[in-house]
Amino acid sequence: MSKIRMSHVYGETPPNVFSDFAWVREHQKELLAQYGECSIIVYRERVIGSGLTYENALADAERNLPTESGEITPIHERLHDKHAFYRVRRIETPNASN
Amino acid sequence: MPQINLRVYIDPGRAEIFCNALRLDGGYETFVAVVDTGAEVSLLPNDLKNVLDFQIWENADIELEQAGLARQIFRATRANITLFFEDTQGNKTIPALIPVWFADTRQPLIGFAGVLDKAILQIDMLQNAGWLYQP
Repeated sequence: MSKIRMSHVYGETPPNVFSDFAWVREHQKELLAQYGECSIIVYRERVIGSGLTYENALADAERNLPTESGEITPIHERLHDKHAFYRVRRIETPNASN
Repeated sequence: MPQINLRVYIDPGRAEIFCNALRLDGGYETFVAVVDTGAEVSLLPNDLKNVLDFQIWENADIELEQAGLARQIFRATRANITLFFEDTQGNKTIPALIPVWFADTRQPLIGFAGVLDKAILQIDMLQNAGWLYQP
């Protein structure tokens, strides 16, 4: 049985949820540099799983969880470039001199 | 609806809100969405279809032209989900059914249908603060 609980009852949001989302927001650039655009599972300000999809990231977190660990309530966040429309790429042309 | 505090940022400028959506297991999952006054309907990543409890619309599959840009067309599935908003001060709304589009995106967006069209949205970029509430 999984020790990772991604859901909660109405009005009982686990206390780590807000601080973990704030931590991801604060460390967005470093996390993007380290993991690239992907899904991450974070618990108490630590990435415990990553993957290209939510499902893969969760499976990775399950694998990384110590056997002696009790139930945990991590968050899922998608790392991505915040300026998706503003990425600037050089246009390569065959006759470009520089 | 109580006043829900938003997370407001600069560089890049954006207002975010904590959402809690009903899952298939009967609990709620928290995620952060951008409040998007350019979004007709709230948009959610496709991978949430595997975990959320949703009611799919009749003729649910549609094609959308992104921000009016030619050739930026993507597909979406129209559905209803049960969702409530929350903030770090303990304010929360009552769970309500809202229409969403599931699409190939990484960024959840909260748009007009069922949410912004029923609420007052205030954003104070000078104070990095914002609120969403329904009178």
